[in-house]
Amino acid sequence: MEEQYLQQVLNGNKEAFRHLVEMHQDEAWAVALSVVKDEFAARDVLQESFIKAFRNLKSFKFKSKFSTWLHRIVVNEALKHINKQKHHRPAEKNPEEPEQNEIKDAIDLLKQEDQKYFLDMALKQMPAAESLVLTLFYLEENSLEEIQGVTGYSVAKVKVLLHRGRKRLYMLLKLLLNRDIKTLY
Amino acid sequence: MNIQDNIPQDDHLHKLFRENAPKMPFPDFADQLMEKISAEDEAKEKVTSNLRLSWIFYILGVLSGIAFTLFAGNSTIEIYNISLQKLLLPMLAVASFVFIIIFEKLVKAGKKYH
Repeated sequence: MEEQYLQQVLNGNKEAFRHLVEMHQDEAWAVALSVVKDEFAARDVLQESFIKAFRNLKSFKFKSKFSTWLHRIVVNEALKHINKQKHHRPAEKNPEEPEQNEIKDAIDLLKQEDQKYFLDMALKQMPAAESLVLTLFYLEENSLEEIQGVTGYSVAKVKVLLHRGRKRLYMLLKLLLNRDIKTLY
Repeated sequence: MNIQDNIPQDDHLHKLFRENAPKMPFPDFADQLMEKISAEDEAKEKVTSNLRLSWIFYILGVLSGIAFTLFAGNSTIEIYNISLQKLLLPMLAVASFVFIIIFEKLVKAGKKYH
């Protein structure tokens, strides 16, 4: 189905691109948000990315998945956006190893919307590279090579970011859960 | 998942991400995007059409200049007691300079909006 729409767009049917947007917007949204951390910035990044994808569709060679190609554009646009912000971010310390089983049990006890809230809050506080790689690996279920293709990072760097990102995510979830309990009591 | 890549499996994290996948919160995103693409295409079409007209008038201007040069070369008309033939060289110099600048700008504009 996706290939049909791609061919239609390449043959000049602009409206077929709408179907591709609707098929991929949620995943691309997650990728953009993991980098820029703000919904309105993510919307702008996504709009620019889809327009770029539309204008450069002739350069898509069907050698990789369309989503991989699209996500590469999204990541580049998102990184351009955060580089423009020029905020000085202090260097992130390596996270400590929290007790993961305890945190997993605590999360499992939460309602769906609360799980989403804590996960979103934690991802927002993580460095862009780590939240991006976690999103691509655990949400988009990309392989290491696909993540390499999307981000341009080496496979070794992706592995390091995944390890560090997991530890930091659990650490942040623990901090957020503890803070939430303290405000209740 | 990638067991062979020594990445911790962490099915719990996998489940957490999948069950809480963010959804695009702007329901009119696709509509706005397609409108923007159409607006950009219309603007590009207008610019291309204006460029085409610019080239037509540019070429007409060059041809008129050549015709005028040929006419002035053989003319005995005087302007403020100076013969047109004497004025021809400085006029040619200025006109050539202007035509070259305009040519460069038209070519640049054509490349930008191609």
